[in-house]
Formats: sequence, C-alpha cells, structure tokens
Amino acid sequence: MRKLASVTFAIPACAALMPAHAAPQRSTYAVTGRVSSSCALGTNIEPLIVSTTVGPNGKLDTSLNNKSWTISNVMCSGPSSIRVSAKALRRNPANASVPNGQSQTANFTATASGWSLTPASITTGETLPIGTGATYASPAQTQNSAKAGNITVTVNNFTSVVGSNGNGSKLVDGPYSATITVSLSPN
Amino acid sequence: MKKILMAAVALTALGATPAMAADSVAVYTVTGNVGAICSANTTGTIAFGNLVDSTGTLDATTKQASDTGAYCNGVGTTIQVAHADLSKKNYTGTPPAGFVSVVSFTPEIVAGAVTVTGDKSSGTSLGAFSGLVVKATAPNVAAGTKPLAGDYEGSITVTLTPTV
Repeated sequence: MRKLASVTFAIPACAALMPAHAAPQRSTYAVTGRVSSSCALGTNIEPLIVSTTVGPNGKLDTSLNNKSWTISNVMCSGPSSIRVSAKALRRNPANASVPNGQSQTANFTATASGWSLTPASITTGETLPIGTGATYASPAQTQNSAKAGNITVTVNNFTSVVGSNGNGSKLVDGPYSATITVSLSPN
Repeated sequence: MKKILMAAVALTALGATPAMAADSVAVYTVTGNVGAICSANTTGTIAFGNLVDSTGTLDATTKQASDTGAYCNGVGTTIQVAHADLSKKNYTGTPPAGFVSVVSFTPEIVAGAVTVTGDKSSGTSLGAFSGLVVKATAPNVAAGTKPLAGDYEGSITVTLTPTV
C-alpha cells in the first residue's frame, strides 16, 4: 500500500514539470485522416428495366438484342467487385398457365462492361415456359484499383423457354419485362 | 575641573551628529531579470478520422489540438509555421484518373488572442501569450477528384522563438 501511494504521487509531480526554453521551441503535430473504401453508382441506382410487347405472332422484338444502358459517374475509391443479376424476360403480369406449345418466358444474357477486366455477365436460367421470376446473379468480377467512369449494360441472346413438348418458341402475347441490377462493392 | 572636562566632551559629541530638519529618504534600487522563454508540448495529434462521406466525396471539417499550458513570456516572441499536406501512407504510385493521393489543408494557430493562418517561414510577431490551439482547416482536393481509400498523414510544425 505504501508503494502504491508513492507511485500515485509521482505521476502528477512529473506532469507538473513543464519544459520551458529560452531557445526556440518546436512543436510538431501529426495530422491524420482516413478515407474509407467506398463505391458510388452515380445518381442512377434503380434497377434497369427491359420491357417490350409481344404481338399476336408470338415473336419477340428483335431490336431488344444489343440494347444497352450507360450508368454514369460510377466511382470506387479502392479495389472493387462488380456483379450483375437479372430476372428472365417474362410476361407481366404473368399468366397462371400457358397453352401447350407456348411460353411466357425468355432467357437472355446481361453483361456489365467497362469496369472489370472481365465483364460481369449472367444468362438467366429459367427452364419452364411459365417461368418462376427467379433472380440469377453473375460471379463477381474484380477491379484491382480505384476507378471512376461509366458502366455499360448490354442485353442479348433472347431465347424463349421451350416447353417439354419442344414447341415453346411462340410467346404468349402481352407486355413483358425483365429487371437487371448492377452491384458494385468495395473489396 | 573634572566636571568642566566632561561638559566639553559632551558638547564635542553633539557637534559630530548632523541635525535633521526633514525626514531622511534612502532609495534602494531593486533589480532582477526575467528571461524570455517559451513552453509548449513538443508533439500532438490532430485526427480527422474519416475524411469522406458514403459517396467518396470529401466532407471533412476543421480539426484541432489544444495545448492549454503553452506560453511565451516575451513580448517580442515570434512564430514560424510549416505544414505538410495529408498524403496517403505508403503510396508512391500515380493515382488513377479522377483520384488523388493528397488532401491539402491550411494550418491555423491561435496563440492567446492572436491567430496566425497559413505557413510562415519567417518569424511572425506573436508577443507574449498563454494557451495554444493548433488547427487543420479547409481540407480540400483538386476539383473533380476524389481521394484514394487508405490512411493519410500530414503534419503542422510550430516554432516559437522567445524574445524580450
């Protein structure tokens, strides 16, 4: 107990010894800061919507192929990963059933390029003509340094989901839509 | 005869003491010297923490460190200020387009009632003061750029020269 008391008194005694100098006194203050790794998808952060109308002939509008969108002012302050996910093009609203030989679902490929060395790409994988509305996601593609720029999303390879009877290339008429989401995350 | 001699001695003694009609004043000069000195912490830290918002845009505000016990007692005291901008630690590369690895700031020193802004390579008159606040103000990057992710470090050096 006696030793403890002597230590307690020793600390303020040392702290009170303010160094005073007749010579110039130099003080150096370290200034520190941190920039957290972050990504920003510009101002357009809504999912991309692919929409079209299938007429009575059951054919998909061929102009959908290679349709593209540009996401501007994208930024990651450090290494990042990009993914693209999509739902198949499907009648909206979906019918509860489709006639034999017809389909209300078309798979397609969505590709996000301009960011990673290998573009992020996903092909939707519906297997039933009626469709499920499931979301399909690409593997992550990496960008190893900070980057600022644009991302281009392109769709192509639209293929109607063929039924078990092998005759599903004819689409049920009506409005169709699909959603595409681009995700960017700091590594 | 003996009495006459004693009287003569007494008169002689009286004649040797000056007679004072007014008060006696003696002035003693008291001198001393107070050397000009400065006292201040030799090190400190000004921590910004995170310099950017969620979009990577710089949004830091002024940060400061206080040394309340610092003082200089010389009315002729001068100050010199130098600073090094915040630089990304352990980074020697060239930032990708749109990014920078340096965040500038302006040093500001408040010594008593005097504020000194910016670097001062030659001695700037400061005078005697008590209490020192060292600030890093206006962090900034070049227009259209964002800082790279990572830890940043810079410095402010304050030199106080005590002068009478």
